[in-house]
Amino acid sequence: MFNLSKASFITIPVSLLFVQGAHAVTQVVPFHSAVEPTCVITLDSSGVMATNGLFKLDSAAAGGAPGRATILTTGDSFNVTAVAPSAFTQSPDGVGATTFLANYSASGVTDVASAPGDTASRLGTGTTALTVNLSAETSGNAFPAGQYQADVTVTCE
Amino acid sequence: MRMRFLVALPVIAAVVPANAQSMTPMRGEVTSYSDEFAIRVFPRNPYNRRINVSVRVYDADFRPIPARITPPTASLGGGASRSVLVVVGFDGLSERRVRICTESIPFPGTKMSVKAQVCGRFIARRRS
Repeated sequence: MFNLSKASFITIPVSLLFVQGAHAVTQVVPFHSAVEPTCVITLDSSGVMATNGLFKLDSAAAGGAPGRATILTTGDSFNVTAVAPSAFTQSPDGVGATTFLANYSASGVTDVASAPGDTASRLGTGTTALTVNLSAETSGNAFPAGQYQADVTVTCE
Repeated sequence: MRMRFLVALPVIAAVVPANAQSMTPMRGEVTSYSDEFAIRVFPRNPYNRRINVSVRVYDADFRPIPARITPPTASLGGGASRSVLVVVGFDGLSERRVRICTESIPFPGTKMSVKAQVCGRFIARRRS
């Protein structure tokens, strides 16, 4: 009599487990999200304009380096330009009239071999690698010795 | 329901690069019943380090126009964003197209610096 009640004690919970499993339900929790079309410019490196003779500074000359940026877009309605400055942001005294020219190339989801800086190019959706070159040419005296800086504005809009 | 869950997963993955957004929104239309209209934008610092950003307003031809920008400049930590309120007058017009740009120069002091400028385009219409 004692052994019989002990056996019942063991088997009843097991059967309860089976009953619970038979009534288990699956509930899916949906997740929603909305991604806005946007544009991100990440500057990877600034450029260096090397002297190309006494009257020209050029990032494409030997010893120079282009500026590099990465553009990430989440939509297909954006354009890029790389507009040259109208003046140096830093230069020694005595610099004459200077003409700036910028151009850029793009690879990745955007394919541009070489475009004038103020020409807008449509960006693909995703990651674009942008390479920017700048030259500065003076029509006056030779560039005097000193430190120069000029800013190219890369615009995504 | 199960299908919805599976479809949602790639969308969530696509949100991850949003940590590097530099400004939202970038398109918009506003209707105002006063002489001014207001747009709130959210510049974001896509870098891992702190940078200073400025918000500027231009017309459709990229000429600077007067606007109340609060705040006009901000120091943002890596990956951080903040709201900026831009209030522009209609200047007697019934419709105005403006560009609101977030600008930054993180690499100063070299011979050729690249200034990043992300511009949103907005149309504001005045109703009387």
